[in-house]
Amino acid sequence: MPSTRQPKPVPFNLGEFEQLVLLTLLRLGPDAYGASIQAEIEQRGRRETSVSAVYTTLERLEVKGLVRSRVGEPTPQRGGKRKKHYQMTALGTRALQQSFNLMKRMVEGVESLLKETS
Amino acid sequence: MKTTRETKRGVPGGARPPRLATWLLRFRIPAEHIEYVTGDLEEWFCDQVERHGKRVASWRFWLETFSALRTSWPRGTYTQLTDLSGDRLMTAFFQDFRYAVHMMRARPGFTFAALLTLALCIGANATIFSWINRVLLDPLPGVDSSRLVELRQESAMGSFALSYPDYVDYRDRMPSSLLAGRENWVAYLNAGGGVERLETEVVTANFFEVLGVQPVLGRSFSPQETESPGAEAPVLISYGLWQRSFGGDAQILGRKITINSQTFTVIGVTPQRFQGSTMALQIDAWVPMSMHAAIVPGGDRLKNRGVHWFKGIARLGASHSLERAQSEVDAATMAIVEAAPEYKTVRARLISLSQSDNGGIAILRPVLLSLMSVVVLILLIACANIANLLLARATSRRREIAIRLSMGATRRRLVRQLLTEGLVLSLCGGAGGLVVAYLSSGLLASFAPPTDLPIRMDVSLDSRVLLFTFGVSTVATLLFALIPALRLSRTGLTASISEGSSRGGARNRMRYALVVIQVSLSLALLVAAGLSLRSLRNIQAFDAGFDRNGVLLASLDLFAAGYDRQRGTQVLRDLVDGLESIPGVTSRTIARHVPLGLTGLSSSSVEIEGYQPAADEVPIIPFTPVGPDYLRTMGITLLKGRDIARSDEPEAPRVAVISEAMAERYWGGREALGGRFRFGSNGPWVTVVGVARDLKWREVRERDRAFAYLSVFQAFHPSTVIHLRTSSDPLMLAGAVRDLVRRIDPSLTLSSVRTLAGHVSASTFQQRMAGSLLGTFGLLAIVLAAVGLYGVLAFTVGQRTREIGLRIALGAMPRQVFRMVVRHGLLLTGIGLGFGMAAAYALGLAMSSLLFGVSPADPWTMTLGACVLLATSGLASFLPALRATRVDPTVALRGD
Repeated sequence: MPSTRQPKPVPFNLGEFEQLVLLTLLRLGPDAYGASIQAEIEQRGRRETSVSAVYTTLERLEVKGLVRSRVGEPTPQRGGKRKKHYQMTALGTRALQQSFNLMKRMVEGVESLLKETS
Repeated sequence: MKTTRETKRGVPGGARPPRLATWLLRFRIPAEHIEYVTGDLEEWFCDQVERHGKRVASWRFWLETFSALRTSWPRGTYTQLTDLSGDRLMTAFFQDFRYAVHMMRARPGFTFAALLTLALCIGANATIFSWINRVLLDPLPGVDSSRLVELRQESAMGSFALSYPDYVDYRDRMPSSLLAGRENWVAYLNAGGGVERLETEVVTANFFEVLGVQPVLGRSFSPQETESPGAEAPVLISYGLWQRSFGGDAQILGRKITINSQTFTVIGVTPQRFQGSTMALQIDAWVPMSMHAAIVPGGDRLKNRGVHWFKGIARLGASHSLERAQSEVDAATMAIVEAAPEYKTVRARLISLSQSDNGGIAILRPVLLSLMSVVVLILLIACANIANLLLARATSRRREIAIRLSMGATRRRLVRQLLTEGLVLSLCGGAGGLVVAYLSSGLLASFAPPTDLPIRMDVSLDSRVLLFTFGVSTVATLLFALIPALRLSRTGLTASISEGSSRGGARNRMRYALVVIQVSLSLALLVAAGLSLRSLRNIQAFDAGFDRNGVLLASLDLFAAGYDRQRGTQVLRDLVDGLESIPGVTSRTIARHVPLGLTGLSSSSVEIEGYQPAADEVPIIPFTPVGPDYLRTMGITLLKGRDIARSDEPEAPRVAVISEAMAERYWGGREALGGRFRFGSNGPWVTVVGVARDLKWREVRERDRAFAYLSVFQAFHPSTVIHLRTSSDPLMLAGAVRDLVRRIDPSLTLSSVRTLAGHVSASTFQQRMAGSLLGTFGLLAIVLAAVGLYGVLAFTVGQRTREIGLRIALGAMPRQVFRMVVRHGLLLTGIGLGFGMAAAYALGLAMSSLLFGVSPADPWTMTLGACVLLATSGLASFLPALRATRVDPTVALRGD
């Protein structure tokens, strides 16, 4: 039994796609927005997804307080339409950590099995 | 940190995502996201264009769009959507739509039953409407007939055709519209070795201008071709004839063809859809009036005002009303009366094409209108049925509705959701209905009378039919979904607490009312079906004044073969003599007309010796030239005197046999035998030698009319019909008749060989059509009513399980429980039957023009219909009643 003091746990678990989006936000930094997140998930994660799926997930995360958004300045690209930039909140970072730790604990001792089968 | 990728992005070649897709997205994506999301999507699209090219990118963009449409956006939840305006409304609609589809899939049994019912009933409506559309609204395919009217002359004796001088007078005095003349006539085309029967129209040169039809090849007639044929005798041929007889020859223009032994030059081909101006008939060729003598027997008709032989058709000027044109016609009639006083009782009228009896197809109007009202009733029954199913379902949805209400959904919003569910249901049903209509609309042609006329009644499902079907589906939605939706939305918040709450009295009353409506409408339909089937039987058994059995008919046209009066009369003599010697023939004759065949009759004004007509009376007598032994061959009773005989030759004194009605009308108390009359005011006197029993000429419902039979040798007509009476199968004689005709003249051809019985059945097709269709609909109505009653009883039994269990526990016998449920069913039926009698009587009155020999309030038909419905509802209550007797009181009461 670990005796170190645990941070107060986030009162909910993240879905798999939510984790993916949060991880992407971690990678892309404060300027991330819908299309760039979607492209990153497709390129790095090699997983097909749609812009609307990304948006609805970001919306849900924002309602839960895990990300926050700001509206950027209009640029000549994309017909002058503004972007909505997303950034992780501290709560989001903790939720991601929590999920990651959970995963790590579950994986411990069985990594070799996963490697062999993958 | 990684930068965003916009730096490497441009818009390659200004590529833009598909507009429709972006437009659709606007409705689905909440307004607060729209700018960023579409911006991202455009950026993503440009990236795709760079990588995969425009086509793949567009395709993926559509997939992306659909995915966005399917996604539930977090801000767009039901309960928050209370202000509905613009885009929000559309967004909400998408949500409702998705939910409706979900609900349909969740209850496949209900959905299947409702869809099948709707598809059949909307399909029946669409089918009948497509027929009405074809016959009454778009009577002339390929022609805009909205501003076309028929010009018709009428006197006290009925309506009659125009003469050419009349036509010219009307044409020149109607500045606000354009008047053409036309008449259809059979002619024969000599092509290659054979002779082909053609249906032609003899027309004025402005005919195509009036109809607004442009030939697909060549030209139409030039103005002067009405009265002088010019250097060549021009003819326009139909697209069908061009393909059929000339193999679609591209060099057809200028080609010489021979019609009735006259050489014509083809100057044009009409469009494929165009059939001519005679409803339901496919015309093969159009000949200008200048050439009428080659087609129409009887010499030059253009100068003689007394020869009424064609019909007028006019196109009203764009800005002129029918009233204006009618006043011009009235003025023209006055001018004609000045020149020809015998027109003093004539009135000319303009009537719209759908009112005209043109081509005999107008007799379909009462049938079609009755059928339309019947299918509307069927749809009402079906809607009552589905409303009942929805009401039953509503009970199981009360919890869901209550939850939604408690979450803050407004009632308006709920009603919208429920109506959308109904709309989706009925639109799917409407689509199925179109399939039904597509399959069944062609049935119209199969009801056409069995004549040798080239009847063409192809029905197409055009935009008007589509619009109608859409309208019917929408109205059906309101009918079956509105009541359940309004009721359901009134569900109290507390209703969810107890699912089995028995506070359903009002809802049950509504269900019972719907069943009563169904039963009463079904009775009306059943009675209508019964009345029309009885009319059909009466009409088939009706004594029309002649014996229709055992007679062979065959038509012969001497005019087309180039015979004149003298040579023609000789051929008829040879024919009459030759027919007598055919073995098996008990009696033979020839005649110009055959009774009850939807065809016209010749008639003429007469002067009757010793009869003083009233001031405005012009006696007009229909007549037909007949051969020897006509009355005997047709089985018409001779009341006095003798039949037309072989000896009534041209040189002999002119004789006639007249009908009983004519003898009574014009001779009254005097002796008609030996009386005299003449056609016109200077023809030879004709002596009455016989009086025959009246018979029905045009249709069985006509009243007895004055009629004269003349000797065919004295009143020659080149087209004639051979009549042979035999005691064996008439059609066995056809070969012998053909041989005989070939022996007389090898160039003569027989056409339309048929039996008299078959010919007569043509006149009953109205009743056959009404009988068979109403019979089918009546059956459908019974099934719907039975299903409806069953559904309601089964539901009530389910609802009353506890009560029934209690009764059984208290000692009720299964028989008593059984009787209780059946009595309930029969009570509902009985109330329905009461209302149904009234509805049936109203429907019977509305279709009284179709009835024959049976009253709209016929007690037998009513009683039979009521019995059938009672028996059906007995059957429908049987299963629920049986289930009620099997209620186990211990199980039923455990719930409490």
